[in-house]
Amino acid sequence: MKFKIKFADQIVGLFIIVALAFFVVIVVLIGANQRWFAKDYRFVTSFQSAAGAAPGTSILMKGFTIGKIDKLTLNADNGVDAEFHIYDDYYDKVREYSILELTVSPIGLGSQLLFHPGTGEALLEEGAFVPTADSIQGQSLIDQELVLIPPKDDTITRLLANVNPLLENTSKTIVTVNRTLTEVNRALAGQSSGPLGDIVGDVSAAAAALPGTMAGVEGIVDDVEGRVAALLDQAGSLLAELELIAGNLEATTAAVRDPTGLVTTLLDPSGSIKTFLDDDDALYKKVMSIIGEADKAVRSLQGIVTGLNGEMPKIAGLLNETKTAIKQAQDVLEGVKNNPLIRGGVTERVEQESLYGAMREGSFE
Amino acid sequence: MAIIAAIGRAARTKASGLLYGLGFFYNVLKETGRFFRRKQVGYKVLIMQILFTGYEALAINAVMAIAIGAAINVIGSSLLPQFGQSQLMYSILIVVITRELGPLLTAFVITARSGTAIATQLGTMVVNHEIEAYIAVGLNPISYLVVPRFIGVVVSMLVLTVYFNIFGLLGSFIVVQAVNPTPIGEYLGALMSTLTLADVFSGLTKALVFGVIVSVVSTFQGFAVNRASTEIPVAGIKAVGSSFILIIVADVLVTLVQYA
Amino acid sequence: MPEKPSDPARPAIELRDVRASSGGYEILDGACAAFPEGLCSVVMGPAGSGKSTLLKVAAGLVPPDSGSVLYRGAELARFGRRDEAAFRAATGFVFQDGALWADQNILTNVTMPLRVHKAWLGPSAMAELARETLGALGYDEGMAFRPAELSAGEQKLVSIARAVIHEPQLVFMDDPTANLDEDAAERVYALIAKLRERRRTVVIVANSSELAYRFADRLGIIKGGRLVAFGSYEETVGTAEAALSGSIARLKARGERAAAPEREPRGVREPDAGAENSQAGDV
Repeated sequence: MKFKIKFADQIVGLFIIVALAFFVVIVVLIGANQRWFAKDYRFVTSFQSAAGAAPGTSILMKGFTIGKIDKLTLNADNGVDAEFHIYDDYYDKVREYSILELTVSPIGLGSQLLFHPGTGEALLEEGAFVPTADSIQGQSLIDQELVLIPPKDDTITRLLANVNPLLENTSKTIVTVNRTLTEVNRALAGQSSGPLGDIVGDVSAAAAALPGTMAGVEGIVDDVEGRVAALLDQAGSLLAELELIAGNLEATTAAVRDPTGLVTTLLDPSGSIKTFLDDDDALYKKVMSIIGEADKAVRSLQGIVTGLNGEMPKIAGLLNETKTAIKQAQDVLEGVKNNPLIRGGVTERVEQESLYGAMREGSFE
Repeated sequence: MAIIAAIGRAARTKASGLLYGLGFFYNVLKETGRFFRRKQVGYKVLIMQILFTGYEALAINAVMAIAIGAAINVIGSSLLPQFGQSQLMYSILIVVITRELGPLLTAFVITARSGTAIATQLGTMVVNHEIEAYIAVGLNPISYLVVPRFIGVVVSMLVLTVYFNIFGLLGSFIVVQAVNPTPIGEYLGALMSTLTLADVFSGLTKALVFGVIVSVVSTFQGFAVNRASTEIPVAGIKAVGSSFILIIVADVLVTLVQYA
Repeated sequence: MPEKPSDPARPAIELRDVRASSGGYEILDGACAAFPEGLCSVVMGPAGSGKSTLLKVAAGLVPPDSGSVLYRGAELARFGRRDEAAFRAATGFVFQDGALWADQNILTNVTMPLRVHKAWLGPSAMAELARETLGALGYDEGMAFRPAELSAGEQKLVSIARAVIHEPQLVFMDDPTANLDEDAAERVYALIAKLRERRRTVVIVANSSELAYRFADRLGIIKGGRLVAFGSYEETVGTAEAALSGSIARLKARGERAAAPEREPRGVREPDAGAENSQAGDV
């Protein structure tokens, strides 16, 4: 009799048992990976809108998934009641005054449900209500600083949050610088009636009178220094502002450069965001260098103004340089502002299809 | 008028055929319930059926699973990162191997191998009056001939689907190591957190349904043979054809039910 | 199902106006017959007259399109699972072409009725019974052969052994001596004689006038799907229809039978209790 026939029972038994064993192992592995055996603590909350949230949405704290939404229901008051659970490993984070915050990414990268632990000592009972950040209750907790809200974890959100004030600040600064420079220019052209104009006017007058009244120079410089004090104040505040901008830019650029950060992950393929931000950081380098140049120029301005008396002939050249640099900065920043991706606070969503579209275009190039 | 009458007659024949088929299916289910409740003469038939339908199809099943899994692995790990969607590979792997192709291809293999075998074997038995001989000794052909084949094919389908998953998800990983090394821990971790019980049971539900279809259709076609031995190959062809169509329809229906 | 001693007025198997068709051809066309309990009935007819179908309908293997088949007064079509099992345990069927199960060996083929109806016997007792039964029929090949390895005659012997091994009360035989050599046929005659002696109900359809001559307590003639004559041997041989049948004519020519005197239906006499409980191998 053939081996296979003779041992049919054994072969079939083994055939089935091995499959069952694999099946059990797979189920156990799934279970272990998906926490079937761990206890969950259940809580309730309520949202203004369920947009961006769904049953199964992860609840994140500092980038860790600490729980999930179980159920969403539209209640009689047109609010959204939600039930969620927190894994037992993280139950000790759920203290009094904790809140939830639902953030929806402005460029269509989905939403995040963030958990901010309260500063209270007591752990919340299972089934307790956890307010959201946009509720009155949540706002008051935030205002009273009873809840720890870290800087936004989502780098993109942070980046975008920084870009707008940055642009505002920068253009304000540019305007200020520009006005100052205009003043300076006009002063240099001798048309100004402002303080610097007076100075420069006086200076040129003094210069014209120089051959004759060399002895009067000391007096003139004293006079200049006195009058320049106001200008120096102005330049000083400008510098402070510029330093702030520089700091902002540093932070943003660092985020962009961070090799493990979300931005890098997002920018890695030749997506559309990359072309905006990451042609070797060209845009940011440009902005940085311009701001640096502006900084340098204004520092020079300061030095110039300080040593105005000694370096008169260089003023015009240096200030011109500054003007050019600032103009370039304006151009670049205008470019940034006009970039379709972030224009107008970026309301347009980038749909998933655009990725495939981009892929197809790319492959036909 | 003749046409209308012809259509009416055809419809009536179809309807009575369908009713007969449903009655047959009902009887198979009823006898299957009995099969487990009593000591069975059909036990040996069941074992041989699983040996033939399940065990002997393991090799071809494994080859298909590894090939498909490896292809998805290679394509997925080279194409998807371009969109920053590397994680999608696991979803695709699971949808293809666990949910869709696994049960479908296994069912096709079983239809081609065992569906024809069952139909022609039963057809031959009808022609040789062996079925009548079973009735004459008091063995119900459905409980003695159909039920062991039915259970055997269904069990084989389920078991082979599990193996298809093993080979498709793990075997292909091992093969891909040659061209595209990935740490096993990372692969398994990502796979297992993407794989849900719903995926597994979706695949097994399909396997169950397909197994029922193949075995019932094949036995039905086998019994549909009347007396001539020339009807036997026809029964085999019909068994394969109807099984394929019903499997595809059932696949769509099960998928719709699960995603709807 | 009735288990009481049978009523002589009530036949073991009765066909009432049975119509049956196969593959669109009408084979039985209103056949009526009553095979009495404890007697040997032989039905003869030309090829294609519906003999085999008649036997299969009578044995409940082919459901009639209309009409009814009664076993001891109870309609076969209404049998439940239990009744069906008891009916099968009490009957044996010899197929014209053997109809052995090709995927089972001879031992399994022959012992299958025992496995189904007398499972308590155990494998060795079953094998012993199988050997005795086959031995009585002159089968001397091994038990591990597959049917395909045997000659048609040997297959027929195995089929006969399978039909009687479980000591049925009622045996249907479709041309039991077809394909058999004379010696084997003689052994089959001996078996039928023994069944008859022990008051079993035997229904035979045959071409062979020898079977009718030797064993027919009742003789029927089937023609065009109807029993044109059915009665005692002498009655049937004497009917006008008999003249149309060559084999009956030959029977007539053989004259009075000496060996097999006409008997009464079984119910009149004492039931043959001893035979019912008789043990292995004395079939």
